[in-house]
Amino acid sequence: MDLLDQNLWLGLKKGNQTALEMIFKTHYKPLCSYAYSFLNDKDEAEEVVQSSFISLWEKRDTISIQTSFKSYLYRMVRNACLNTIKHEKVKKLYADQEKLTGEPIHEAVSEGLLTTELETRILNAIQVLPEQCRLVFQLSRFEELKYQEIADQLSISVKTVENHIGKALKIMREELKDYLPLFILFLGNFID
Amino acid sequence: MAHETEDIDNLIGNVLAGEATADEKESVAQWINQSDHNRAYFEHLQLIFDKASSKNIQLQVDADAAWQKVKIQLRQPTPKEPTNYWTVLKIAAGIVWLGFLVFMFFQNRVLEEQNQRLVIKTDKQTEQDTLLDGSTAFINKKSKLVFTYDAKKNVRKVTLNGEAFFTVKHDIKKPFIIEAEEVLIKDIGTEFNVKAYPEDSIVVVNVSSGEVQFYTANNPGLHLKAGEKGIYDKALKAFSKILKRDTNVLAYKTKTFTFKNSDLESIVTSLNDAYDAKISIANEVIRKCRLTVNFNNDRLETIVDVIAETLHLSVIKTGDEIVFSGTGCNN
Repeated sequence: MDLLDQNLWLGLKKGNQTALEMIFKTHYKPLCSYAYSFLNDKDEAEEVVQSSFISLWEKRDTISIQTSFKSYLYRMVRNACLNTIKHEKVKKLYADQEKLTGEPIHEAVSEGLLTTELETRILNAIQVLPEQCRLVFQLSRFEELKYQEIADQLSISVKTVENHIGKALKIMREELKDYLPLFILFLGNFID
Repeated sequence: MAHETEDIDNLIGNVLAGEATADEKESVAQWINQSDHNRAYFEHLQLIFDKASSKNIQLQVDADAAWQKVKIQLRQPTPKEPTNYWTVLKIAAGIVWLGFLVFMFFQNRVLEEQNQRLVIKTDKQTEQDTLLDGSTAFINKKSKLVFTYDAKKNVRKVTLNGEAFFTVKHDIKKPFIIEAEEVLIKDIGTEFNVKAYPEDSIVVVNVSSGEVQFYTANNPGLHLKAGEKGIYDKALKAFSKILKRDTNVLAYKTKTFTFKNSDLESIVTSLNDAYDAKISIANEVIRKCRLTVNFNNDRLETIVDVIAETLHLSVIKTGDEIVFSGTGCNN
């Protein structure tokens, strides 16, 4: 944890609302985007992030952070999203939809997004991924966790994480192939 | 090196995620160079991988508005004793927090966190405050304002005893309603002043910008627009509307006065109200002396001197009492 984060965290533990406000304002937007990638609903995403912060405040005395502050916040929002999905109709809706059409729901998710069409389609494609595969992909791309960290958190092997990421990329490319540009300027510097 | 497609997806994933070994990087590089198709395939995965990140996918949200929502739901903590491992920043934060508490104490504010309720009482001082929803209220002396937010009904309610100028953060989903004496004022995107002291026979609403509905439970009342003034007579239970704005209605807030051919008597009344002063007029004959003058946030002494000088009056100051006297004026 860097010094500022550490100070904010200690301030929060002491019950300093200003610290909470600074944390909130720094991370609100990316956390909402992350929640959105799970819930596919802007209002719901905002609600989940807001109530996560309220419970963070209420539980501030008992929380201890092992890794980084940021990853704590992301994990907190992720768990809240997974709970929401579990407890609410969303999962059921998905299940029903899959039974009926053999295909997950595939609605446009452009509302409220500050992104290009391609990014909107990428978000759609994330919704299409199988549950565990999708979670692994989100942990990697949104929480920016290493494979080993993902493996530890989900109690799976690194090899499984690898398979999920590969599978996610493959499925998403399949979903998106009509929208991907035919030629991209090859940068060639992906390998050290 | 030949790879099954399943493998190559994983390998590319490893490379993109920065998890690949040197061997794996080499394999992917060779695979890419085998064909244009392979290269395009790699580039597509790279594009998806890069775009599908929290940096690129951003939801349009208003963090400030969201914070206001969260803030009113937080329980206030009890301040703790500072400990010796505090860093400079934390001490600073602590001072801010302490200052906030002291401020709250002196301003007689009570935050009753369970009900999301804010009580502001003023006595000899005016006070500017931000309400829990982000709206602001400038509260005149001897006033009491209670702000409540009913999360279930989604209503912001203010009970006002006295006078206040409101700048309402408009939210169509959460109506802002002021209850003053027996009348109600509902904002429709607005800045307005409400004067409702229990001892007055009337309640006065002045709208600076936007619109308000000024009404009672049994009377739809008035729809007031910017520049309009509504008066409710408590005895007659009747509303009336005045189109011309009283230029000095906000003097208690701004200490800006515009007197246009006004008589000394009403000038003195305005000043006494705004400055909580004790100015009186000794001689009947000078009460109707007329004066045109502007004051902009001047000290009371300056204003009194200017008036005396202009109307050729004498001023006697004893303690905080000020008396104008004279034998008449030219006009």
